[in-house]
Amino acid sequence: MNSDSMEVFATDLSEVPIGPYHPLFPQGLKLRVSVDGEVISGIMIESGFQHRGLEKAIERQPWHAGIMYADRLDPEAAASAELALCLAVESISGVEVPKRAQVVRIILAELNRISSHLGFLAKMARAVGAMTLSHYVLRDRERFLDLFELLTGSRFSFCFLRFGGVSADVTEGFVERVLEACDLIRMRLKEYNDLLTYNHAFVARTHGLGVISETLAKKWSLSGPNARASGLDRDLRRDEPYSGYERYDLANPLTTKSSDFVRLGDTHGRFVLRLMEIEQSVSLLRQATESLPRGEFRNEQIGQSFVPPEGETLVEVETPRGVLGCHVVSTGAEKPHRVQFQGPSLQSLAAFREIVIGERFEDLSVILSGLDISLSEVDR
Amino acid sequence: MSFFEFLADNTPSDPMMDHWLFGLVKLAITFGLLIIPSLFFMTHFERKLSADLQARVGPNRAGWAGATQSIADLLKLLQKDTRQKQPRWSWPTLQVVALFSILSVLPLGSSVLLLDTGMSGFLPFFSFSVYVLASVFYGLEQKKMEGGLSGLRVGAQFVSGLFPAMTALMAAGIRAGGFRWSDFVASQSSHLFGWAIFSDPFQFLAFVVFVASGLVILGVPPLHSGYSEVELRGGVTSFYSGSELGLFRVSRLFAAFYWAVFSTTLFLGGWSGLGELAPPVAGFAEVVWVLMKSFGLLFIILLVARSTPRVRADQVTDFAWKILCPLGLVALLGTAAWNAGRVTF
Repeated sequence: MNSDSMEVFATDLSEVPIGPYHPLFPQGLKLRVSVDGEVISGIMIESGFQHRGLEKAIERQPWHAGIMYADRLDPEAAASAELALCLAVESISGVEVPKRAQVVRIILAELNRISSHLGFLAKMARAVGAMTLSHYVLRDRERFLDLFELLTGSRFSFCFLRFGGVSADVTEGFVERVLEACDLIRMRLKEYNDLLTYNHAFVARTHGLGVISETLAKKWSLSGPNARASGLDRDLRRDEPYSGYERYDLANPLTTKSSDFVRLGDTHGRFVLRLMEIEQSVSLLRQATESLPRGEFRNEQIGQSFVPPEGETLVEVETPRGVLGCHVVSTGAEKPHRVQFQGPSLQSLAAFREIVIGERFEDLSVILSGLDISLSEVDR
Repeated sequence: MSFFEFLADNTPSDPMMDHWLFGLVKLAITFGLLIIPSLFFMTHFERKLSADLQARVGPNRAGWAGATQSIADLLKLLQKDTRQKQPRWSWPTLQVVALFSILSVLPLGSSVLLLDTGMSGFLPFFSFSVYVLASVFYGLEQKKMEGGLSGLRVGAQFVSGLFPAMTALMAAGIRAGGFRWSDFVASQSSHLFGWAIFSDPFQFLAFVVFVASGLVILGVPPLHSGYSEVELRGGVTSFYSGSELGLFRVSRLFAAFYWAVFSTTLFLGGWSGLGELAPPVAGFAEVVWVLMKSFGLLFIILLVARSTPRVRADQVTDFAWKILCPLGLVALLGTAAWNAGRVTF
């Protein structure tokens, strides 16, 4: 063995470059990790490998085309981004959205939340090496992708919402299939709990790992499940309802019996909270499908060449990952003057940099997956 | 009269057929007709079962219901170029040689056993040491973070698992009154409660410790953080490619299989318990009996591996030092007390 290879024996700091393409990440991300043995002592994050200039691209297209670009903001939670853009444009122009369209939007958004959380479970299971659960979860997510296909015609990137409604009415048998999928996923949740949540090895691996305190969550202005698991109980669907969420009873996972378990703000808590949120979405879906009113599914006055009047607005919606803000400026022209998104993943990534220090190198992937960061949303 | 004596008696008599030739024939038959085919069967069984457990289909193209997929995989890997030119005598080669050397003491049956010395029980440990240390040094030699960390983890697990495995082996040896494979088998009678594992509680404990420490030593899932595919890209394996990768995969399977055979012989009655059979039948029946029990044990390990997430390296070593070591010592002392006065060496 020559002297070059001795550095792996060194107990002082050594720097490990990871990425930009690595099985650890769903998309491109580059890390420079300083490790002291196996313990992480510092980390540098370089993102931007997924940058597509989405916001600029929206400005170069007619208003309606923006919906298609909003889909690409976060492919796993496309419905939320579409909803944010539509709500913003509708608030500038004061367009009425029919009741039926509002409910269909909520159904799509909640289905999307479940499928995104299932994707999270699969990522998490892969990070801890529990391939069995990962396969189970992906099998069940197929059911939800099928529902998207039935409703919107595509499994990802729906391009389904329109200013003033949705592009098509629900197909025959859709509601029944949604309820079937809800029943199925409630059964499966028990299976997931048995396989991972209460698994001794998994708890040993994730309990007390990557703790985000309430102060830290506020400091990085985290939102969504990551913040809620730290005790920052804020859910826009309940606190500042939009698109008719105020009509439904939103069960709060943080007030249930097992919430103390969740509020620790560690990776295990974040994992359990997302499982609970799936259940919450199932209950929301049940209520929404029951109360699906008859009537128009879109505002007939809005056509292809729709242009909102001059104005500026900021709309926030609750995506599966947190609060997504959409800032829209219209000058009354055929194309948007400015469209900006403020996503939750960037804050999570910033918090990740802080909580990962002092943890073991092996847990890097577990913490990163536990935060459910969408890199395409960070880079836009 | 064993099967091979029967064979020797019924072949045209050749005075030059000495021990060496006879040994070679035994080795060839054991390896070519028993181990390799049964391992391919085992691989296929493992892949199909894992697929069933994980809601997948598994191999279903090559051969009947995908039965020859393992052979196809191995053939493909063997004809691929390796990523970098290795000297002919490299660490992967050493691993294979180390595992081959275990064959000489592999207790598959009384007729195919090549060596039955007073320290047979300890010999595999030397081979396993070489096998694991080759992984460690190959990892460290790669001058990459993946290989280095992987090598260190594999090494740490090996060191922590060795002591409990030894204590469990000694507990078995004390009960059997010797460390010959034939001693181990002779001390266990044919019926179920004559097996060492059920003969006294400390032997049961020793069995558990032996199997668990084997998983720690060899890095069998779910204790395979040294070969973690997430953050280490497979660790040591990230540098293997082509035929080396094929050999390495096969060798990992062999190692787990060997450990199951040793556990079977030490605690699960080995090849005993078949009653009176005609010599050629007895020879094969013994082997099949041992293989069946070993595969049963591997099956249980597989179930655990598929339902448990990967355990972190420091948790594995903690488990070995803090739980397996004391349990192993308890098993050793308990067995000594239980069998006091019964055994004379």
